[in-house]
Amino acid sequence: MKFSKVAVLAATAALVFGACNATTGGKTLKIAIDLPLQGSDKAASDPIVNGVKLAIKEANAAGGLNGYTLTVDPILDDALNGAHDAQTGAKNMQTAVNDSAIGALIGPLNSSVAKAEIPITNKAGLLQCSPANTNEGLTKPQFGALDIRKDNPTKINYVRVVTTDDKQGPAAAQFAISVLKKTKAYVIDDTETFGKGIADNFVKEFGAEGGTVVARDGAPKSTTDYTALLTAAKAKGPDVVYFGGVTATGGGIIRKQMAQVGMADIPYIGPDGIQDGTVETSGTFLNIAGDAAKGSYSSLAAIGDFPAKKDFTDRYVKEYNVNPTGYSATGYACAQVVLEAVKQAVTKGGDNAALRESIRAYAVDPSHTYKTILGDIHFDENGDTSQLIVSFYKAPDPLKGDWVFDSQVDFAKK
Amino acid sequence: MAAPSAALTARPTPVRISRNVRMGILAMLWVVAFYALIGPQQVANALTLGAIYALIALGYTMVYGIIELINFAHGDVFMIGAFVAMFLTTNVLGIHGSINDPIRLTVTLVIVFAVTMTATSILGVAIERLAYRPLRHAPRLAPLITAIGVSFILQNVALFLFGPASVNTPQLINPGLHLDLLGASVAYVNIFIFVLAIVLMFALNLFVGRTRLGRAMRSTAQDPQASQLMGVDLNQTIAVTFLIGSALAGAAGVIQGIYLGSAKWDFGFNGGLKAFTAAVLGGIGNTTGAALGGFIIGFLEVAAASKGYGRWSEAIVFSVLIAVLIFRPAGLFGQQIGERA
Amino acid sequence: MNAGVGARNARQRRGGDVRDTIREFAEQHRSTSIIVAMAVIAAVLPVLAAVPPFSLFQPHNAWVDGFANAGTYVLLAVGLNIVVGLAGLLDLGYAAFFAFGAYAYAYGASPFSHNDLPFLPLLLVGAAVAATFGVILGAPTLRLRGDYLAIVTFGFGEIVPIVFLNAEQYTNGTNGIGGVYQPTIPLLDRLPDSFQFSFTNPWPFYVLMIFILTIVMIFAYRLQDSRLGRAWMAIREDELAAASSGVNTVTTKLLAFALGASTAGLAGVFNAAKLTVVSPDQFLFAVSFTVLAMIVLGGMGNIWGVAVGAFVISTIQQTLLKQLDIVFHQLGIPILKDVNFLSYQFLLYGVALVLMMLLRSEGLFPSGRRRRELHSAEDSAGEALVVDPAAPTGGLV
Repeated sequence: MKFSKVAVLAATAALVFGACNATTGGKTLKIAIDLPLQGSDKAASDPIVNGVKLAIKEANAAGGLNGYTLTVDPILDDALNGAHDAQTGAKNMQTAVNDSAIGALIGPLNSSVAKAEIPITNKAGLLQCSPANTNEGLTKPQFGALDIRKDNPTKINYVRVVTTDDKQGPAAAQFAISVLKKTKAYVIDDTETFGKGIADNFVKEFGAEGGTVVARDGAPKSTTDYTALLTAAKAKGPDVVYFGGVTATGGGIIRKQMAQVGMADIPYIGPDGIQDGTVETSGTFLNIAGDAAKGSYSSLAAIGDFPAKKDFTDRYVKEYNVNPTGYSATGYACAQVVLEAVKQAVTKGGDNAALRESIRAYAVDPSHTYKTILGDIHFDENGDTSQLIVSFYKAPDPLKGDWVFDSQVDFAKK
Repeated sequence: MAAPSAALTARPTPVRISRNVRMGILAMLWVVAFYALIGPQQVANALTLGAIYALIALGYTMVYGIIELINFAHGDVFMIGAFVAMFLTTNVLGIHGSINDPIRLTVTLVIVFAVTMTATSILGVAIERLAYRPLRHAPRLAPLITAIGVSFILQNVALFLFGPASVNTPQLINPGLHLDLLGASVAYVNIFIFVLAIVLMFALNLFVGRTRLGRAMRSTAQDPQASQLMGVDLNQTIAVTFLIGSALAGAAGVIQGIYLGSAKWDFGFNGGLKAFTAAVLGGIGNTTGAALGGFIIGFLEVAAASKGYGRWSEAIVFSVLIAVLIFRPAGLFGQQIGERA
Repeated sequence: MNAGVGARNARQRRGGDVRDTIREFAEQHRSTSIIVAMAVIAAVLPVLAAVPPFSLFQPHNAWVDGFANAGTYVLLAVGLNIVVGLAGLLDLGYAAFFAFGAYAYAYGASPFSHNDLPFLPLLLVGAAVAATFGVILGAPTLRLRGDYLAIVTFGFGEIVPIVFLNAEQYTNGTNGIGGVYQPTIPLLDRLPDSFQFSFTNPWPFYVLMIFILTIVMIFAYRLQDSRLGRAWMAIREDELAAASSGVNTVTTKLLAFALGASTAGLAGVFNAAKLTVVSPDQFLFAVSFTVLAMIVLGGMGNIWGVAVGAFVISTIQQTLLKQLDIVFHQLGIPILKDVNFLSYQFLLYGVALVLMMLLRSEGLFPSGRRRRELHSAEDSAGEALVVDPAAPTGGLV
């Protein structure tokens, strides 16, 4: 009796899974996504998924790529119990590299997960494009990147369309000194990899440009009451505050409590981690900080004001009925890179394994330029994008809608 | 049952008063010391933080005193209190910011506190009835594990209902209104919190010391069998203990929301554990000790933050906990407990 | 009808006989039966993963990789079982020892530390380091009773990751130590490539884990059956009586901590060598809680029980919950299809723990002894002094 119940269940499951794995006629290639789809990271991942899907959909509608149709599948979740998890990411890579129908992977969101994933995709030679990893240690040899691509140090597979924290942090320092004309900074980070790293970069550059860091603090994300820290900081007389971290680890709350202890007039700068949406959307920096958000600035490790922006926004809104936020544009750009690489690779023909290798080889070749919505980019020999732009946004005044573009720094021109 | 825990014992009146006076003087010395060390502004922060910890610590200490269980879920009851208050104020009463009219403010505060404290006390009693009472005679491990389980259930319910991000809670008392006091700019809300906490603790002391139920609680904590022989209803007494402890945690939750303006599904567990440290520090089972312990932990945290040790503040608090448990398990104000079997 | 009942009883008796024979054989030839059992499991699992519907969930290599990961949790569960299940010491900070093992390996074999020592010795070093810290962290807790012990161990579990996080010079802080070297086992170097440890080949890790597990299981059973094991069970039941009977509670407890921690150390080394990244956020309370949930659900005190419990929960966590999500989504069941099961794992654990404690506190696969203990305690007349709340007041023995 028990056995036949199990058999029925197994049969049903087999049918269901068989159905969703069935392919349609014609040649298809899968583009996988790996992002954290749970908890507070989900708000950052969803726009990326949307951006990628939009790009693929448009490419398919325009006639496919030399006879191939692309599908966005599987969409892997690298979160465990609501937070991004390196081990889950690594396990997802096993799924990705062992599925020969997957031609390329877009993701992950978090640099700590990327560190565990890159060795695997590097060994397997699977193209991986990240729309959001900013940790310099993932690509640059001088920051230890060779340790994570030991199997194929020169035959790289990982590229990214955003610039790195060793640009984003210093850009913020330069912004504080040259644009806001401040000289005394209070720096606070969330003790996590991204937050602390970028805060360290800010501190280094701020000092190099002649400013003084009056105090440096770290508060883990479990902190709820920052008033003691802020009161102590206020006593040291800073004229600008830099936060290293994301909204989920305290970005918005710190700004709010700053106002409470009387620091509302002091400008507040944060990295792309706090640029996560409009005042009206719940859970974003602007929403949590509320009235205190006035005088806040955030950076984006990518170009903010790109020529194709209006067109992209219109198409995105038409498809999803929401504005493109956060990394939706970079997700779209990653997809464009992958699409171009696929288009060129399929002309060479070959089985799935050969295809995967051609895609990778084409994508990472520094001589190839991609026309993405962000502009024309190519990748250097480490996989970093040629576009070294950090853009700055200001909190809207009056407090309605999204961050307002302020200015950008182009390191390529420096 | 094993040897009596550091209980809420009834001592001959004269001794109790002088001990309280002694503790009061120590407390004032402590505050003065911190005033000198970390500055008047931080003293205000510390007293506020400490008041919140004290209110939560009372619940822990009362429950432990009576059934010798560390109620891991207590911190999450505090969190639920904050969310109930948020929901009530924002969604039911439609208030999103500060209220400036004193009469309207008072009425709103009374409603919010009353409703929230009722809600959390019901929650606390329900948890006791459903999850702890069936395990009253089970081996020690079982209720502890259950408590952890209940804690995670509460957290995930809040996560499900309110989402993973911080939720804004209306700061009913305008945080911008200040008073210049002894060299610091003290916000009215800080004063309100401190005064309210003292009033609640005083009320608790009166209840435990003067009423029949309070006497029942004290005697059950001291010797459950004997008190049952004297006609005390064990179940009712335990339920009342949970009721009061959870009500206080609910009050702390309302306060947290009003003071800091935000609530998050996971902020109860850690805060709860720090409050537990406070209870242990003060002498588990001793309500005055728990209150003082709360303030001490508040001061420690603020001192660490103001001296640049923010990164280590959690480690410091837990180290204090471990040190107290190892070297003086009775806490600062508890009775010496003998060797445990 | 009677014939049917009689026949069913006879079948049950025969089935019971078979079970009893197996159990007797296992008890008398422990090591052999463990080796045989592990070999069978090692062979069966990959075969199971190759048949539908399992083969449709994910590629075969991903399954094998998942089994190796699950093995880490089985190791942790067996180790925690020694501390909590056998010796009755509720340790809520077990992940700290996992961290010590992992960082010990990272210190021995990573570009960050400029060391590249071979794997097998480091495995023992990791276990030894963890065991040492087991003694160090256990020593202050010797005089503490259950609840306080739990809190102190929880405190240690919180402090250790914070120390690793802030001691940047030694641990690279929040960045973690990346590029940790994968295992190098001499002699195996001569084998063809498909037997080598690599990022895309989970099989060597799988086989290595089976070996480690077999050895650990044999040790665990030997310990359980030894004087030390009985001493642990004695102090779990009644420390005072045990001390009066001549059990040295100090060494017994310290050995429980040390041996439990050493298993976590092994798991830490293996995990670090496999994931090649070690960072403090891998060792938070969530890990300790998960392992605790595994041993509670699996049956505290029963080594195979917790092993099975850990494997099942780990597989559910890694793979099956995701599939449950997909199934409900595809079948379009209202309400359930909108729930993201993955986000609410801890809710499920919490509910499972509470239900377990209320209904079947000995776990799903309890040891016979445990079941007798827990259920006889509930109706023991010796507890008569505590009045049954339902009885009218004054009802006393």
